[in-house]
Amino acid sequence: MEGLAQMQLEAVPEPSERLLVAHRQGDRDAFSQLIERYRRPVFGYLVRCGVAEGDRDDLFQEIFIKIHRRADQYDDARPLHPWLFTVVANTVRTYQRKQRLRSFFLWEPAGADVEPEFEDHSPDVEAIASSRQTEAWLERAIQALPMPQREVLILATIENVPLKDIASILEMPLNTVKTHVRRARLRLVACRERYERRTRVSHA
Amino acid sequence: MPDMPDMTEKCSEVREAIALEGKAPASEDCLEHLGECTECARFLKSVLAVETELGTLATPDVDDAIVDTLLARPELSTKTSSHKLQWAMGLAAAATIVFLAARVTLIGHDQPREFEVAVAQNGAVVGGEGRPEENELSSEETESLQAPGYVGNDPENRPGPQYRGQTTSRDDVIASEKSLNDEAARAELSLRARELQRSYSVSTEEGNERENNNAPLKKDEGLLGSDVGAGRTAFGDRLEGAASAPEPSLEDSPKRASQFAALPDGLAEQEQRKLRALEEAVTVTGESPSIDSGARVSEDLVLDKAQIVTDDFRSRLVRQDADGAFYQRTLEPDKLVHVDAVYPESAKAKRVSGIVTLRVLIDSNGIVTRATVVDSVEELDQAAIHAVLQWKYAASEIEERSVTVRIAFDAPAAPDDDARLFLEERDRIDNLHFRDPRGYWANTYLPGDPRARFLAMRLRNAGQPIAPHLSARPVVQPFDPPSRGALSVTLHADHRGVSGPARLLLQVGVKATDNYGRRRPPMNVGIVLDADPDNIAAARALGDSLRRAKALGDRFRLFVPGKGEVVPPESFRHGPLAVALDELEGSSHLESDLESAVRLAVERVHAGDDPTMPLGSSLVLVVTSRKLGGELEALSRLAHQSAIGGVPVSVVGLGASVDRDELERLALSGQGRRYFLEQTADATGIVDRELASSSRVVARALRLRIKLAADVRLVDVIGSESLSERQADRAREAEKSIDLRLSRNLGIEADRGEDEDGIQIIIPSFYAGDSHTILLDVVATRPGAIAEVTARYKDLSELRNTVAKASLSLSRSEAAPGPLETNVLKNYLSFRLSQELESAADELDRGDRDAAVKRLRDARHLLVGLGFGNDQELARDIAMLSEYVGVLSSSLEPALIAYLADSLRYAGASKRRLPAALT
Repeated sequence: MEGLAQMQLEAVPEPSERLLVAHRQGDRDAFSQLIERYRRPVFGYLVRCGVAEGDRDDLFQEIFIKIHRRADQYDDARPLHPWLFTVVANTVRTYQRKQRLRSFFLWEPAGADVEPEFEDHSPDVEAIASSRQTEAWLERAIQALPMPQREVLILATIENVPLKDIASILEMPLNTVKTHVRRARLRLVACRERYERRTRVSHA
Repeated sequence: MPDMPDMTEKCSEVREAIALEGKAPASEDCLEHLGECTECARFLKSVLAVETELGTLATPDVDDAIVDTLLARPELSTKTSSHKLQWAMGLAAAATIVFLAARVTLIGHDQPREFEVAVAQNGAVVGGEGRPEENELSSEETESLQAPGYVGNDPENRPGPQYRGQTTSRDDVIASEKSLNDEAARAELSLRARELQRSYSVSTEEGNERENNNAPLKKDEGLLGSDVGAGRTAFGDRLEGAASAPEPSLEDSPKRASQFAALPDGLAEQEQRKLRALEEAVTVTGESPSIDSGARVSEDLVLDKAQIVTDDFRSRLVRQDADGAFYQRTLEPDKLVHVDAVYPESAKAKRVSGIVTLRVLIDSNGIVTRATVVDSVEELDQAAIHAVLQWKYAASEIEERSVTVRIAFDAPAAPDDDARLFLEERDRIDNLHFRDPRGYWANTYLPGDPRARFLAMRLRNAGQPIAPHLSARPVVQPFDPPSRGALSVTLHADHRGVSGPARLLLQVGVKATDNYGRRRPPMNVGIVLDADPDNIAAARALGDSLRRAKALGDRFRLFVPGKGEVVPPESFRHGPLAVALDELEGSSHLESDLESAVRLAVERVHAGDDPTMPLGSSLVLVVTSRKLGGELEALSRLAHQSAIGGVPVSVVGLGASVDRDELERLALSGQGRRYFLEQTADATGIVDRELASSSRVVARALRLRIKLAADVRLVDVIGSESLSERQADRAREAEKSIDLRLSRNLGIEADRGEDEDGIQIIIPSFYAGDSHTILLDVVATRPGAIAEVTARYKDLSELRNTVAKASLSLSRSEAAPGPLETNVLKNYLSFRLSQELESAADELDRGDRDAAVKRLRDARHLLVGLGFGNDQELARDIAMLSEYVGVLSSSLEPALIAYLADSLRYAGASKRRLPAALT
């Protein structure tokens, strides 16, 4: 039985926390694995938080460089996911602050108020037409959420971060986080109902 | 209705709880309420539906090229910084600032503000003839000046050589001169020197950051092959120097040494330092020289100085040089107008080669006001100056900027035998064997080359300092993406016109739109795991990645040869998977029947296939760690049957024993993809790519029909082969199955089943952002219509049948080839080069290093001998070949030879397709 337990243990992948610790100790491969593991969550967060398409790649790199630089600040007794997303969220917030400043000085509409740029809205591929529309409305609905609600929703539902960790990541009181997630869901439900009504009307 | 208010309040409470948790609340009374209140139940249903949609929402992924760029960034080579260290650095910085402020306050006020900057070689600010003790800085200050922008003495906090090499140098120090006679000016000077250095440091930092961040963009710029060039091109002598021997160092070159000897000592040292830095930059970035028609002329602009200079100061600048001060090197100013240097006919006739180094002054409007020869080649100086004086840079607030430009003139190589034979062969029209320009030909578009990814990983992990393969890139295709529809098609030749019988290269180009859907449908996947105990760790990683990638609605099942379905969809969780893999490790299944296992998987997946779901949402993934040998034929048939039934078969190879050609064939038959998993870390990427691939397809059932005009004869479809009747039947079947399924699922009218006249190529799926070329070798007898191409496909963006057409007609003309014609020939050369690189790799593997060197040298001769115009892409290839020849000609460890074989293979793959675009 011990053998079996050992085998099962081996099947478990290296925890992300270990990867960062290994990287800290000079194992370069570990960081590459860490990037591989987090590339989509991080990039997805950037996209959904409305980071302009032209800036995403740069910001993506900046985030991982920051993670590398701050690896020594990470307490490996704690889970990595919230720590890493703290870096991500802060980088995105700094970026958005700069964008707002830039918009202000260039007399452009403030970034937070405009519909953020999102990756192409081209039709989904080989999916049923309604599925494609469903995808589109949901992405649009997420994009239309106010930024705090969007941040909380992405972390809570897409990244599955516990609410108390979200509070720590976004430096918000737990109750505020709860309020945001509740409001975000209510908005999405309202959007969905509107969308369904429209679909029914167009089919009728 | 007395309890109505209570109900409303309860409704509100329940809905809030649902909205918070995204599911039904756990409390009894809430559940009870949900049973009674239809509105709340409906609300719960909506929330659950939203949650489901959120759960299945596809996550956008970053481009692999960005990850590769990130991993290559020099910052990652430095140790992670400690916050304690940062604190220490902060304190040190604060202390330095306080100290400096105190000095300025003590010695600087109420004095005239006239000043200039002078920094001696050691980095200390020199104050002229004042009190000597005040002219010298403390050792801390000197340190801080030597590493501007980096506070503290911790070597970890300074840019390492690798960092410096990849960007512009910051260790050269600002130079200027003027003796100061008063203390105040000196003090202010000290402050100003620091400000200047700090600002340079910041601007250089920002520049570096920009450069690093934009690395992928730079690559694209490079790919566009336009005028990005001069500043980032390497110097021509690198080409020649590396051609037959390892790159000689600067000190090794007698010519260079004599040039330096002619200069004042300080300047010679300066130049050497700068050129050494340039060497590093070139080595790391792998940029290429440019080549001029007939003769190669490349410019190199790297030794820049941007500084506020007055006329007075400028006049003394040269003198300061002679005194041995350094230059600050900053980023190249933006060049707006570039004019190539023209190789003088007289020099060309005498075959004079050399590098002219010019110091160029640019005024605030960006006009080049003066070009002074620093390093002369008598017969070429004027040509260089003439060109440079026509350049124009972006305007700047800086009154005057100075840059050093190196223009390399490389005598035209007389087409040597290889080139002559090549050209003769390309023009030969007699004694040719002609093919039937009808029927089905093999599809050469395979989305992705996993071998290259695997090689990339191995090369990266090898930690070798040389990486010639990084310069290998496919030819940039000048095709416009479709303005409408999913695909555009083009047809070009390597001639602009014909006046009689002529041998032509025809090129069919297909370019897909960049747009694609993101959502992946719920997947129905059967995994057949055929791993030996040596590869069990890889199999575990793959299994685990699949488990983690499993989303709502996915149905994954695991099959093992000899054991059947060992993990059904409902048990596809960590525990059962681990147990199954443990059992696999302890068994000797390899004698078992893989075909039966695949057959069972195909049957089960077909049974669970929902025909209303998108094509590709059901698939069979065969994971194997061994050669398939005799089983391949039966497996290919099975995979083909499965694919025409709507379930593609993809293949993952584990370990080193697999035969990549076998896997490729199996994946082609199954209309799937093939991957190689060498390291467990790759597992997640492979699984993600495979599961997402169905959503990256923008066109299905692409039928290319190439019809040659009546008097145009086909010599070959390069890289393809004519399909046998049986193979053609399979291609037709595959096409029809896609046709019917798309008709059933998406309402795209079924329109296939008829053969067409001409060369037909069926490509089952075409992926977003891809381009593909098909080259035909033909003989045309006279001017007029040459060929037409029709691309008929199922457009998955617009959900309809679409046809794209292109035709080619050549007039009677002897006009020289233009860029489009050159592109065709370059594609052909690229194809040939790719083959040569891979053959050289095989020769290295066989231990025949001499043969590999000869092959690469011949390939290089051919490219040089062809004397293509100012073509950066070919110049890059030549430089890469030179580097290979140079390295392989020296004594090498076996490990390095193995590395170079990998490197050559990777370069070969990259010539066909950028690894970054691999799926």
